[in-house]
Amino acid sequence: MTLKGEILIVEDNHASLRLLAEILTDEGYLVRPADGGAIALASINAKLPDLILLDIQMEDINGFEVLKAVKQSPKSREVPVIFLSASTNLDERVEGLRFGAVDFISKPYKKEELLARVAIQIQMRKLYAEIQQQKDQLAQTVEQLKAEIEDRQRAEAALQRLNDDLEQRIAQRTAHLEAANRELTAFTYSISHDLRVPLRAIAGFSHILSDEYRTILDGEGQRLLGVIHQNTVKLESLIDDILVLLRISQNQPLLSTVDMQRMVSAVYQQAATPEARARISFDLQPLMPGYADTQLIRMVWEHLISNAIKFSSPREHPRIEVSSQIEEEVVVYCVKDNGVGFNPQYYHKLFGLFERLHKVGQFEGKGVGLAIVKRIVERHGGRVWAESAPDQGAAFYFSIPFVKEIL
Amino acid sequence: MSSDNEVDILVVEDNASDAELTIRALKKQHNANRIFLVTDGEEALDFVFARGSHQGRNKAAKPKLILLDIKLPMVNGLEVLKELKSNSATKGIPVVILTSSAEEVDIYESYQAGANSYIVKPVDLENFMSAIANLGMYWTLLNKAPI
Repeated sequence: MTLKGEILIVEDNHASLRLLAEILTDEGYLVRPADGGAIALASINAKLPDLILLDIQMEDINGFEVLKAVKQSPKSREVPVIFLSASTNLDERVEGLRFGAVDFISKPYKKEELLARVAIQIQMRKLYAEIQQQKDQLAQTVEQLKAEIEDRQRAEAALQRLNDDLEQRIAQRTAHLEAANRELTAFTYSISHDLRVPLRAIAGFSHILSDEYRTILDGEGQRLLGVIHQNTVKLESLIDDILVLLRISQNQPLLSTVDMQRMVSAVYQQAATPEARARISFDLQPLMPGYADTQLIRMVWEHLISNAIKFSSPREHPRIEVSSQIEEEVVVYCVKDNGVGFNPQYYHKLFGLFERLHKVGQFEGKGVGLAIVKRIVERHGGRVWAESAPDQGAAFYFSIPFVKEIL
Repeated sequence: MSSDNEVDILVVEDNASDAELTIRALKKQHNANRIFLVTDGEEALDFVFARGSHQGRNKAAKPKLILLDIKLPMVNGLEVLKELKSNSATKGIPVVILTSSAEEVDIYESYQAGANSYIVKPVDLENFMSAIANLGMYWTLLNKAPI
């Protein structure tokens, strides 16, 4: 708004027009004079004033017509109009207000009254403009919020799609794993059942042969049957080991507090013959109790200790040391011997299934024990590793999570 | 082997080698001569109930012991066991499950279905022989008092 406000004066009496213009200009308003209805409408159309002072009695288009045109146009509808009327005719005034005028001023007017009425309308116009502006701002804010909500909805929808997709993938993966598990179970069953049948036939009939045809077979024949028999025993124990491996993978470990000290002591008594025990210096240090599956962890000790006994047996003074220590979140157990050790070059094969790091005939073994150890320890959330050099003895370590609560 | 009416032991076994080893062991341990072999579950039931392929057999002459393999063609061992144990005429016959499998579910289901004993056939013949010898309890039982 320029100055105090922009006022369009519509009056075809030039003397009145000039007088009005002077009064209002002096008061600080910007005045736009129009000396007829047609020119007034053109002026309004070109630029909206803040207020219109409109004479009713005009030659070309009368004030009512101008008012009607202003109020009908959406563009100018909001501009307040004050009537200027010489008449004291009440009907004329009512008519003017009905057509949408906000006020009227009777001619002759007093300057103060004119200014007061104009000032009120201008002020109202300004307030109205402010409200309009706030309304626009509000509408803009609403639009922004709407856009933001839409953005969020889109993001949520995308997230939902991702979630659905993920769930579907999980379902697929689960179904796949379940199928694999069923297959593994069937395979386990098949191994324990079907592979044994022909093996039993070979073992049984070769046994009958050596038993009932002893007199017919010569020494070499007997020896060959013995070889067959030894191999059936070996194959049976292999099948048993594979079954153990499969079961470890299939079942959840049943965790409880295990007295490792007692367990190791018992395992050693069982694994070493009295003669071996007489030769071996067995150093069992105080061991931390473990939180583990009793049966499974016993197998770990059985394999590690019988390995230590086996590989240290060529020594004149075999030595085996078992110890444990806490390292941050885990307990580390160690079985150390002064035996023949292994070549670190083949370390990557050490815990592999059916891998053997010693020449056939040197030491008995099937290459299953350490694979079982690894599988069991990993099922407990732990780790296995070893250190050695040829002829320098070996140290085998395994860790399981340390559970403070069991102490 | 005998197909006479009087049968001491009915062996239900589809694998010829296992059947031969079992029968050999039975003869050696118990001097039992009246052993009859059937090779599937359906025939086992036909034999016991004297129907189908064994129609005309003396129904009253029931086997005194049945050695039953679990994995059989058509009607499997557990189904045979359930049928025998749910029939008042046959539920008194001791049934020993003789199988290759040491799978726990088999053992559990066999006992659930009313098996009198359960033997896992060992690969080693000597163990196999001693397992058959452990059937002696039933053997003595059936020799003393005919069921």
